[in-house]
Amino acid sequence: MSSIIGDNDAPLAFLLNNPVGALLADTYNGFQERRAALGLPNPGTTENIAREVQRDVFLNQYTFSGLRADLTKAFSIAPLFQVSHAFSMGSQGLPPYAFAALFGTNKVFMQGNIDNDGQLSARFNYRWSPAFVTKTMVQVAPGNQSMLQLDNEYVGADFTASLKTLNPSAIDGGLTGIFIGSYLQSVTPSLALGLEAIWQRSALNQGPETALSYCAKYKGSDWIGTAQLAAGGAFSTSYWRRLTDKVEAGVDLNLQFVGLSGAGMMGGAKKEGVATVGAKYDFRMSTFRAQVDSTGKLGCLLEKRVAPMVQLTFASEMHHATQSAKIGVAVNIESGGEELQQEQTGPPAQIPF
Amino acid sequence: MQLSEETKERIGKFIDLSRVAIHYGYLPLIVYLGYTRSEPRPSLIRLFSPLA
Repeated sequence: MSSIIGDNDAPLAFLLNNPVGALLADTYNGFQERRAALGLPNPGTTENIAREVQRDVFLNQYTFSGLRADLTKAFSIAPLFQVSHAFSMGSQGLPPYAFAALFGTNKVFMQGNIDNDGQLSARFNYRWSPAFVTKTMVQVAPGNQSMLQLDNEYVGADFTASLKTLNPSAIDGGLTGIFIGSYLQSVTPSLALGLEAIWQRSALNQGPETALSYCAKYKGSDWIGTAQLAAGGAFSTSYWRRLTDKVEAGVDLNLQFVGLSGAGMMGGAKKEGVATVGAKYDFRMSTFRAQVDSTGKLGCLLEKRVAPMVQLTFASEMHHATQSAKIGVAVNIESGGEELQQEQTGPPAQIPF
Repeated sequence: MQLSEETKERIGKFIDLSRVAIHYGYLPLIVYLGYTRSEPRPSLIRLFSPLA
């Protein structure tokens, strides 16, 4: 924690060089010292509170359908520079061709992705100080649609605060857009509590809407439990556990007491919930993920490295209730990365991803 | 805060221009930065061709 008593010849030094200022500064520094003495860890971000379950164990992030081929070429590690071409066939979400480039140094991270329809999604992250990063995301489609997202994130020693805005605008004489502020604070070495506030106004002729949600995360020695209560009655919990050093398992429960989607159309409160159970196995050359949820959807994903540069991915999803199935095969070829990794010396760059 | 029509139009034009600039200029900028800063410099054919 930094001290706020600076040099005596600083322009604003008179503010602190009086008895009241000194007392306040002393109290503040004393508080910060005690806070530092607790040695609380950084709890991560509110957005990624259930990352271990939803990103690492579950295959929502990785699943796809159809045929896919990714060719990634790494040209340099420091600064990071990568170019990739992605081809895909027979999938609903993925474009037939996409080109992506990535550039990163200690201060800047730039990424761009353009598909064959000309839709660009770009990221620009800038690290102002070791703790403060601004992340920008822009999506531009050939028509007249675009989206801008600004995310300012401050990662302190024992807390994370962020202020995110989506499509902010003040042209029409008032503020419109979506603003999300979130704060997650470690309370004890294992417990973190946080809250998230959303303020949104889509147009000036509508009033602003606000919503507040709360979250908590408890980290044990080899397990993590999280709970989130969102405005509108959505409640979700997750539990992650490392069973052995190669196997991780996760459970996620989502309950919707007042259906945000259902309430308007169905007229009345609708109760619904989904529970998902998943596991992840790490083998020497492959990773296997499987999950099943209470709607009857079964999914599994196998990533296998067949050669140092070639990775094969098989994804499949079966929905018993609707009798539908999806299957996907992907080849991922990386070139250049291996030799560069061996050449690299010194600590890895702290790229603000 | 009420902006005049003229200012609004100017801001709109500026936003449109920057959208076009980002749309066509961002990826070339990344590739240029990467090309000039990486060590050793990659060959141009490897940079753009998926097969090389």
